[in-house]
Parts: sequence; C-alpha cells; structure tokens
Amino acid sequence: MATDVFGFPVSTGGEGGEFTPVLKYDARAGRFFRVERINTGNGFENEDVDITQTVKFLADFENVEVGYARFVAGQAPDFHLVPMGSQLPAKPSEQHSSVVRFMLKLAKECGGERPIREISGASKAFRGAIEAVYTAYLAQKDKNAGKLPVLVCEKITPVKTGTGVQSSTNYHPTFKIVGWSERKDLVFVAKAVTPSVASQVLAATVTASPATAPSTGSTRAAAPVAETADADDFG
Amino acid sequence: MIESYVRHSPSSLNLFAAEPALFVLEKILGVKQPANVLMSRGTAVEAGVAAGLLDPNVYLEDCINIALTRYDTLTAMSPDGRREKTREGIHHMVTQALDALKPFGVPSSMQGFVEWHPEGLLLPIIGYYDFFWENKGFIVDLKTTDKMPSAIKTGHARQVGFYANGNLSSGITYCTPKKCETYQLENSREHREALRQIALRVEKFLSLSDDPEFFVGITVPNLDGFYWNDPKLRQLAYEHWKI
Repeated sequence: MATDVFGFPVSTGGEGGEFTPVLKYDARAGRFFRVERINTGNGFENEDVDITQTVKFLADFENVEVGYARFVAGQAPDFHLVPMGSQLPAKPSEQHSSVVRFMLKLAKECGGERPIREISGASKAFRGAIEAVYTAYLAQKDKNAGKLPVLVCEKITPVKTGTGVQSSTNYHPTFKIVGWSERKDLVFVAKAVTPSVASQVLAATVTASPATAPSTGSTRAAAPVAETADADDFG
Repeated sequence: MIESYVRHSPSSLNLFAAEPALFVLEKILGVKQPANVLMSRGTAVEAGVAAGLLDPNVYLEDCINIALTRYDTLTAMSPDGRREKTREGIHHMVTQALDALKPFGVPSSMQGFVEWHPEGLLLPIIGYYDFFWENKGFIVDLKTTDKMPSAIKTGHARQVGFYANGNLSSGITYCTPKKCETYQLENSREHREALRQIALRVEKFLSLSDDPEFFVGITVPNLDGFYWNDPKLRQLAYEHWKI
C-alpha cells in the first residue's frame, strides 16, 4: 500500500482510496472509540462509535512502531516513527510527543464493517498500558510461535496526578492477553522508516557472622597496568 | 508458602529488606511492573560495554549505538517522564565504563549463572553476574546511577558477595553521566551470609500462609518512599492496601 506525504497509508484500490481506519483511546474519558468515516453526501465526516464495553482485538505486536508524533486539531498527525527495536529518531520539536502505533483486527462483536484498523497513542495512560501488555507478550510469544495475541481491556482505572488546581485524572486501561491467533488477513503495512547491535554453580559454606556490621568497601580498585610488550617478544 | 515463589534472587531479597509491601505486590500477588527507565539504562549501558569488552577492536561509537538501541527498545513505550533525560547520559556512561574496564582485558564470561543452596533454606538463591575475569579471579557488576556513592551500597555488596562465593575478588563499577569508579568489595563472605539471613526471614514470612491476601493484611507500603513514586504503583497501593 502506498503512503501519502503525511505517512498515511493510501489504498491503491478496492477501498475508495481511504485511510486505514482507526481505533482510538481517549485517556481523559477512559473510552475506546471505533472511528467511522461517514459519507454525508457533502463529503466525509468522522463518527465515534464507543466500543469500550466490548473492545477485543488481535494486536500486530510483531510490527509495532514507536517514535514521536504531533497531534494538532484539524491537521493530519505528523508521525516520525521507526520499527520497535530500532534507535529512536531525533525528536522533531517540543510539540511532538512520544507515541506508539500498531495495527489490529477488532473482534466480530465490536469490529463493524472494517475491523482491520490501526491505533496510535501518545498519552502516558495508553503507552503505559501497551508497555505492560507488550512485556507480557514478549514473555509468552515463544510458546505461541507464528501467532499474535488477542487482547481485551480488563479494567480502566482512574489515576490522579498532582494536587490542588494542578491535579488531573487520566484513565489507565489494563490489557490482558486472552488468547493467541494467526494473523490471517491482518496484513501489516510498513510506514515507519528503518534506521541504519558461564555458567557457574557455586556451592557454599556458611560462615560465622562478624561481631560488627561489615563494611561494604570504599577502596577504589585500580585497573591493572596494561601489559607492555618487550622488544624480545617480536624476536 | 506461595506456590509461585520458587527461588530467591539478590534483587528480590534486597527488595524484601527495603520495602516488604512492594515485595508482596510483585512476588506474592504477582503484579509485575515493566522495568523503569533507570533499570533500562543499566541494561543498555551493560550491553554497550559488553560489546566493547568482548571485542577490543569494535569502535566506541558502535558500542554507544548498541546501548542506545537497547535503551530505546526497552523504553520506547514507557510513560516515564525521565526517559529522554536519562537517555542523554548513556554515551558518557558507556565511554567511561569501557575506559575503566578495558584494562582488565577480555572477560572470561558474562551474565554467568550463579546458584546457591545454603544450609537452612528451602529454596535456592540464584543470580547472574555481569563480568568475570577468570585469570584475575575478579567479578564485577556494573551499576549506573545519577549520584556516585562513596562506598558500595549494602544491597549491592550482598549481591556481589553472593557472586564471589567468598573466594573470588569482586567489586562494583558505578557509572554516573560524569564519572566512573570501581570499588573493591570487602567482607565478601559476611555480605553473602547477610543475603542468606534475609532469605531465612523471607521463608519464615512466606510460611505464614498460602493465601496471598494474608500478606497484604500484614504489610503497609511506605508511600513517601521512592519505591511508590510512580502514580500507577501509588494507585496499586490504594487498590490493594486501601491507603
């Protein structure tokens, strides 16, 4: 699939040249929305469909993209992403936030007509939740080779930060891996830029404790003097 | 006893000594948090230093890039606000740690597994040391920190004392963004014994019940301590301990 100047995927046919549809998470409200593009006759409008209660999806964690993005209302997001596992790009500006993006396939009960979507999030609530479930994915993926994790949102927790007028509440989702499935038609569309990486078993004997608390050591250990070659070494 | 707790490690024992409630959260309730950015910095610097020690011909820039790539991989999703600032110190840390450790030569082994079955304990203590030079009988653990300590920290002393098995020389190389110092461990056997003493108490503690919630009922998080600084951990403390 080709991409436009903003790095968005542009279908080359069969889908009317539209963007990859998105799933979004609103950390201020603690809600998941399936964003639908509605043809009003005078153009397209976005309609948010709340699927918080039923959200379940196959996550393409083999192709997570990370980096920075700037989100400005009324403008296309400005993404600067690399594949997970690469060195991050330079932060383009202070207006850019850390972001994570990946593709997913929504389950039948919440997927609508276009279940294959992408999600990106810059909120700490979203990134922290994805970090936690991605860590669980890494721990389990070898036992589920060739498959992707199926995630549900187990709970959404209000987390208050700051005090007084500085306080704010964000809603942290907690994802849970409930199964594993093959990717089938969840085809990853690359958009990010790829940048240019004794065993010893010790038996032991217990020793008597000293009468006083043992010091730990503050003596600087000098590095060994480098061995110098003698002229005779070269014959 | 708790079925899921099957072995001790220096870090879990030190955690029990420092903040028992967090030990309960992580080791008994099984609520694990992703590594924070400071822990990831340590892992990343170690990767860069290991590359430079194993192959003395590898360019410093390549070692730094290995460290940065590892750091970015580990922290790219992290919501921790210290992520970018913490990253800035990595190239200095790799540079200084290599300056400090290269004179020891190529390590005989790295990330070596150590297992100890001391008398009186039901469970073994296991761990992985960072670098071992067999010809010098010297084990070193590399620690990154923002502030250079004036001596080896007690928890670290227990850790390397355990690796040294009472008969090897050992030390800690502390690296800050500005300098690097290697301290030689003193009283290695005593620190290793301290680890065993903590493990004995952990096993007594765990023997009190098979019910994880029981341990929530007999511990209290110290919310002013840095262990609970993360708002999400603070929230977990509220959910489990109601404070």
